[in-house]
Amino acid sequence: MTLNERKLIKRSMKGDIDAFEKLIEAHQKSAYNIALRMLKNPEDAKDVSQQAFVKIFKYIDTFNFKSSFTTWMYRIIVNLCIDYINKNKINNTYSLDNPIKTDTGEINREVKDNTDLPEDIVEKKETKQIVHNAINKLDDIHRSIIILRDIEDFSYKEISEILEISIGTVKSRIKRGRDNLRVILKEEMEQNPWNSV
Amino acid sequence: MDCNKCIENISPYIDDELIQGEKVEFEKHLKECKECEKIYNETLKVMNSIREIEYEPLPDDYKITLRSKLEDEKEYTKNPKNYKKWIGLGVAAVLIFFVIIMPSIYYFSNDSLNMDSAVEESKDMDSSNANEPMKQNLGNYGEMDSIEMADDETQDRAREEAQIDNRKIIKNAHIRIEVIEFNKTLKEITDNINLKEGYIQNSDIQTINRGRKEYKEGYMTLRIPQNYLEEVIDDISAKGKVNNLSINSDDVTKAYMDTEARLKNLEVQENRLRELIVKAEKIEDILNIENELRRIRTEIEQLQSTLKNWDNLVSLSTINLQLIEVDTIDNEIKPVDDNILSEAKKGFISTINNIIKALQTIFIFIITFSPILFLIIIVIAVFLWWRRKNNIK
Ligand SMILES: [Zn+2]
Repeated sequence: MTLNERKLIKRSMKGDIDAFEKLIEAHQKSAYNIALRMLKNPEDAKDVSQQAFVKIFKYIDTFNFKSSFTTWMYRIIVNLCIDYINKNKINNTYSLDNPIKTDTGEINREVKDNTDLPEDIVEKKETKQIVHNAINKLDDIHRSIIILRDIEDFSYKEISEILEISIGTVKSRIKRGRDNLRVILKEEMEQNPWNSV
Repeated sequence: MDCNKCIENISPYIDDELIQGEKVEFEKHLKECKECEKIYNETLKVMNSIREIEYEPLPDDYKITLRSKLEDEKEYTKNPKNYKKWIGLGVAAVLIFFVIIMPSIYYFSNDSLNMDSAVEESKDMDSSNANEPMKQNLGNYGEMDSIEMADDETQDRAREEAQIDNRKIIKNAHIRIEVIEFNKTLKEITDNINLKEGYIQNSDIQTINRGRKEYKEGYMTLRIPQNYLEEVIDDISAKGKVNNLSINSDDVTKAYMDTEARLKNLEVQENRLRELIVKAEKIEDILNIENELRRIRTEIEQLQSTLKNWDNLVSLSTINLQLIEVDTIDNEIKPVDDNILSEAKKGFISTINNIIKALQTIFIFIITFSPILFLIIIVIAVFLWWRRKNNIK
């Protein structure tokens, strides 16, 4: 923990919002993206990641300086996402990979418009879409671990602290997550050869 | 190295989490074994495609909305009764009106009326000490001994207590307190916590230079059985000057019950699968069931630990204590910052709250004596009518 970080935490403990904003500046994008991958929906991602930051701000005085602030922070973010998923399990209707039903058939929900894109970019984008879909198809446990490892690039030890599980469990979940992903991707590729969107 | 071990090590190898010896062995096996190499290459491909996923940018208004949420939170933590401010202002205007006509009512009814409650309320209004809102509330309970009300209240409370048994409420308190004798206070607090069967979850004590002297400052997380929480807070508050005190309750009853139900459900599933696996004959089926069983087990364990964690948080409340050593409690020169403003605000709001309380009493009072009020109005009307009649003459 840097001296500066320590200072900012202390000031945040006293309710200084400016200091807190500086403290989380570098993590906002990560937090939002973790939530986006876990919850599959930009609105929920914004809401839940912001809720997490508010919670971190609220409970920052419970932080003891012995552990890493970063893992503490991401623990709260990930836990909140998991809670949110569990709470909304039944009425989970809107998601990126849920097609919208229309009169003329089904269209996929798209984050961005892709008209007038050169062919190869479209192709690349579609590969990405397939990977997205595959990640979304993972169960929550394995999705969260793949996000932390392969998208956020946390080490095994950091992940074990964030999720409060042993390194052995981290190891086996990463293996299983990637195995599942491998199988799902194979299926997806077979189903959607390049012109799926 | 056999293939099983090799496959297990594919991910740690890619993630660079193997030690040197394991690495060498892994590479050696991979060169010799086509099967493992194939899986390795596929895994690598999967990972490369994941790594191509780019970060989505933050929504445009992300920072602005977050800022306002943080400000709301700050406001709320400082004063959970904030929403009453506007009610309070309206009420204050009405109060001024009543303060003007009150003496006349009193004048007309001085022997027969019992003014005790009103007097008590005004006494309460004087002590607008913002630091101990809880104590004041407790105090008011004690003072209110009009008979019917006390009866209702005990019934209500008994009912509430019966419900509390089943409800899961997590309580957190934050206290910031200045004390003169740091070590002595710390020991007293520790003793008290131990006596109440609580414990210190962690503590971080630092020495800080202020001017030429060294002072101690401690951040502590105390865990205390929920029913002792308020007692312990009172005890700690009495040891120095409280700068900040707040208690938050988080009701997790619904989430708890949902989790419990889900756990039961999973356990039923697990048992059913266990029965199935005995009957299964095809290897493939057995493997599938085993996989499913493993998945369910993981989830069961997760839910169990969630419940356990909640049980712990519910039965033991958390006090986040910040203990600050100072020379003297009254004469410490504080740097000018927005503390003053917030203190003033706290005082203002607490006064308003007291006015609300006083007003409730006055309201009851007015209603009780409305017949007299009615009489007064008649008297005034008759008087005006009589004067007018005289004037006309
Ligand atoms: Zn092999």
